[in-house]
Amino acid sequence: MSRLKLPDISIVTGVVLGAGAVLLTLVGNPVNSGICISCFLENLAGALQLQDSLRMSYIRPELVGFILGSFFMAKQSRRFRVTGGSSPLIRFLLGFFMIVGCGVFIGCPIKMILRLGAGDLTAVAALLGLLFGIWLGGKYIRAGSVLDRAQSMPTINGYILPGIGFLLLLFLFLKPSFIRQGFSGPAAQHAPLWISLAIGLLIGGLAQRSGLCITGGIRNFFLFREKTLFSGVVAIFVSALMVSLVSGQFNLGMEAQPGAHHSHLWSFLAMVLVGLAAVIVDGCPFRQVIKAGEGDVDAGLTCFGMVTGAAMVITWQLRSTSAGPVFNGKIATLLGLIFCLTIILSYRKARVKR
Amino acid sequence: MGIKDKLFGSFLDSFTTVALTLMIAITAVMLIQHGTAAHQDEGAAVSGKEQAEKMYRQRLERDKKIYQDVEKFFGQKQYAAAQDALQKVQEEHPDNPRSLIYQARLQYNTGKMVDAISSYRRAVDSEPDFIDNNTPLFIGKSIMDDLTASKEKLVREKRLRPKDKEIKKALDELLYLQRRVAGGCE
Repeated sequence: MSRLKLPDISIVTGVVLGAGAVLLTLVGNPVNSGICISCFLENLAGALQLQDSLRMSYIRPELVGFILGSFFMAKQSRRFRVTGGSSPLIRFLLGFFMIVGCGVFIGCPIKMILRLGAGDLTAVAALLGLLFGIWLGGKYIRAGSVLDRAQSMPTINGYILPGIGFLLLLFLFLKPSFIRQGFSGPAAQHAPLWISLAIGLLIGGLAQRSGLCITGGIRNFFLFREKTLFSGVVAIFVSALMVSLVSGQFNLGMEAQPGAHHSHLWSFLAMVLVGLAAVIVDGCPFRQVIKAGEGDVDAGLTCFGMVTGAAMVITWQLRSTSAGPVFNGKIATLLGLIFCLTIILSYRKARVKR
Repeated sequence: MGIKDKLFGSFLDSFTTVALTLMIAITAVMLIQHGTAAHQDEGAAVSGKEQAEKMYRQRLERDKKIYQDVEKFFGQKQYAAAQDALQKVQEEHPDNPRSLIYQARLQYNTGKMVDAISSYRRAVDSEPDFIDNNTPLFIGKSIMDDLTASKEKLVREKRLRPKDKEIKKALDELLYLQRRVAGGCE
């Protein structure tokens, strides 16, 4: 009897992520935003009082689930390897700018796929931008622009981010007075805590196992025609599309799309920034969170940059609203692109000198 | 490693372990005490959610009273009288965003679509809870109904007068409002 061939783990992860995200919106999360790392980080920054929009203040259990799911899976499968020390400040700032790019588009790469899966055609410009950013980043990598190599570090370093994950979990249950929670706006739109946490843990564990990364999957496909991770990315889209269609959330077109704007040029540029920065730091915002859980200290630092970016995106208005990008957001996007290209150029020159 | 280093090293390690254990124990006891005290006070304290609900309730009651006349005339389709009553309210309560909603509804019902859309936009921008279905202030459905009806007319107008900037602006604002009412993480 021939053995049943199991689907690849990255496809399984993609299916669970895409379907899980749409299901989360059905039980309370904001429409088209079942899973969005940048939105979740903005909510987290608000809950920690790093930004002052009460409507965007809530510790998303999914985010905690991603970190802890990844941590448990890495420990269980003996893949918890503590490394770090590669260009820390650059990674911090790239994390910052990745979230700026997400803020100007209104969503991280996962949300971009979810929006496309729900029929939101305003995300097409962002998809093109992301593809271009990753393609460009891939070219630079081939030409030798790579950040410093990470080194092995004492184990305690790897426990810090999962430790923060546990702390956030405690905050969720104990609700101390210094943690804010909004009762209107996106903060009030959330799935029941246990469901969010369970889905987060499941996706975190699977993503650690599969290494699923939106930008990594596309980059590998561009650079090496390698389809493993890419098939996971496609699976996110297909499953999100299917569940959206079945649940009646599918709305094809440009109009009346939730959390979207019609400034396609800025959506494109914002996602070029996200794609480029993600290729340099080796992973999209989601992947950074997963890597931080499995002992990657560099990713942990990128996460700190992302949280700082999430706070500043709201406080300094480095973002878009449904009316379109705010001036500060446009400038920040351009500064982010300048920063990325400067880093790429300086690393390329340093390599040529060596 | 000499015996002195070995002894001193092990003493330092033991000291650190004991100090660490003590500090963890003290922190845990402090947290538990604080938690118990907070639990005992829970009966008297009002949670943030309850506070928010109370605030919404009070606001709805107050608005009902303030806009009583406007609502009455509006129901009787006496739009001029409703407009006068609204103006009076606006003078007394200039910061109440609900005035903008009534203004928009009056403008819509008297055929001033472009003005109505502009008023709806100002209302939603100054009070996002009007389109948040998690709050009792939510009136997103009635706004959406007016917008849907206006859109057909505006699209027709735009076809007739493609260069009219006012209509283009109104259409842009209408599309913006539709996106806002649709929800999302903003």
